[in-house]
Amino acid sequence: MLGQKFDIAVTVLFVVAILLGLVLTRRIDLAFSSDLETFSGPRAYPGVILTVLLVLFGSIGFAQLRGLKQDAKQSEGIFDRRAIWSVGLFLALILFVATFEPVGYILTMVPLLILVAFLTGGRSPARVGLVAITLTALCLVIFRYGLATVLPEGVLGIDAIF
Amino acid sequence: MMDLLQILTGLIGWTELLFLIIGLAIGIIVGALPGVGPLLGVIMAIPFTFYVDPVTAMALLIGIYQGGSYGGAVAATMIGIPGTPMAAATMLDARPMALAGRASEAVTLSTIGSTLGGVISAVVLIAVAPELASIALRFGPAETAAFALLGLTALGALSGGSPLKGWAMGFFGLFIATIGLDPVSGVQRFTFGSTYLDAGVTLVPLLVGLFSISEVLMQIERPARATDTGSTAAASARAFASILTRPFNYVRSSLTGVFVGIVPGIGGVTASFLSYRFALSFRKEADPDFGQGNPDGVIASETANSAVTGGALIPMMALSIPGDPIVAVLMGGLILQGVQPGPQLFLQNAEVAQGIFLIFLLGALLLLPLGLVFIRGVVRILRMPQWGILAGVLLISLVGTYSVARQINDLWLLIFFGLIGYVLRKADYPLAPLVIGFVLGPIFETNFRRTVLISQGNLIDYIQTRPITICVLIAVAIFILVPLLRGLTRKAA
Repeated sequence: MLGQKFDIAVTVLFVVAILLGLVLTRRIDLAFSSDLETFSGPRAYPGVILTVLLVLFGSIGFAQLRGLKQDAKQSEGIFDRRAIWSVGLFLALILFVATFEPVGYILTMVPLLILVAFLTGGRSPARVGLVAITLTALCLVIFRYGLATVLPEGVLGIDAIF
Repeated sequence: MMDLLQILTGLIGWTELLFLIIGLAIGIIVGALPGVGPLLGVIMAIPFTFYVDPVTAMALLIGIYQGGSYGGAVAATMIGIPGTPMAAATMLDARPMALAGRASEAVTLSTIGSTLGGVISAVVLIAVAPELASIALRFGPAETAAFALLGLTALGALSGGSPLKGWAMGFFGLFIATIGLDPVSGVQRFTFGSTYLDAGVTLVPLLVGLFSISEVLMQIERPARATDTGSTAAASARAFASILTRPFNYVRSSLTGVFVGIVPGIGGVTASFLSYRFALSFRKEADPDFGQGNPDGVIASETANSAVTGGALIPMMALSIPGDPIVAVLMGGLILQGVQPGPQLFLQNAEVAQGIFLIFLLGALLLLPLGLVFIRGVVRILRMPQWGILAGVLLISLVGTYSVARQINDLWLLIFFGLIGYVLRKADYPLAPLVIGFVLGPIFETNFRRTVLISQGNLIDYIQTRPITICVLIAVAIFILVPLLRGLTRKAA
């Protein structure tokens, strides 16, 4: 039941987003006055795409609601403990991106990798820490010297180290 | 035979061979890294070509191009993340094979497909390059739009059991591709005033976010990993036997790849999905369903995306038309050497042209031993703890995406699409149609609208004067109607 409700919630979100998209389509500036009459303007193509999307998601939603009434599907454990861990990792990713440039590559990447390792089955803190630091350093060397890509130094000042 | 060998040894020496092998090795590695890809590899290698002759320079660059288009399949198979956009189609069957304990077989099939696709396209390149190049000249906006439409017919077929969801994802991809400046008039669309979004949503954050970030999030909930249950030798034997048991798939996919490669602006992603679509029509009863680990799916997409490399070189060398961004960089590399591609190339620099042909053929042949060596290393990865692999995947995904333009907004986009991918996978939506919609969307829209403008409102009359467009549109109708009628007949029965 929970799985079905999740599916319906996703469909509803899509339908709302599509309706918003259709409103925004009306606000796209027209380059030429003739654009309204032909299919060559910037509004028509996204308008058609969004309309088809609305029909498709409407049909999917209708089928899901019919399935909900007939109740064939069991709960698939959508919101179990591990799903909360996934949400936790997603929030950690937001924090990572927000701090990546000001704090720097090494100081943000190592804790993130340690978190991922623990969430996906890493048990020994020493091993996990060692792997996270090794991978981070290896990647830094490959990108910096192999691909000439400078990663954010942040507060550490990587240039002083390498 | 001896004459041919003399010509070969005269054109290609040890230096060229060494550069080619280095190029292939670099290509396989950058192709396997999500977000990096062969384009970046070729760009990075350009400065190293300044100090060598044109054939040696092209050996390095073509090696990276060929190796890169193969390397993407390895990441797709082993960790469920397409290293290159072309590998998204390969992943549809290679990943289920790997999860079912047939990882080595899946990667070996990719290696064989890449080799044969490369060899067949090299033969075509050598035999009829100038003749085929003239086809590229007949392609206007109407033909390109029709071809993009043909590629879009794969959407429903890639749905994995729910065509409605497949089409919905395909159209979602088409919509995402409309974000940014309108390709015809330059008007802003769905950018919310952001200058970053003016350039549109870029492929790397979308692809890596959808597949890589969502994979890591999904693995926390449902751990799954690629395995090898049998011996590597037995897996290789099964894969090599496919040359005898599935020869038509290799040939058909190679020719699809070559033809799509010749057409400028369509590219490897279309070739691999289109070839996959063709393979769907020839499914063997004994094989698993497509999307469930069917070897024909792996062969079709890998062979086609490898054959595209040879096809794409044809208009570049014969007409000076680069069909895709990597070929544009290759062309730049050639021009930097003082060699001008185009019809005069075969007259003024015949040795360079022949050298490139041979380099391409050798590169395709060398891909097999190099790929097999690479597989042995890849199998070792399977023995690593899963948490180490996933940490590495996340690291490369984040750094690889950031490294493309060094823009923090790319990382925001990456995690946004990571969330979208995670939610869609939990709700059982297929992600492959979204990618094909996103890639083909701009090609179709730009060329369709150009066709409308050229036809001055008389679209039907205009199309009647374009025989190639009519043929492709008939194929589109067949691809849409045949499965529809088949479904209706089954329902009636």
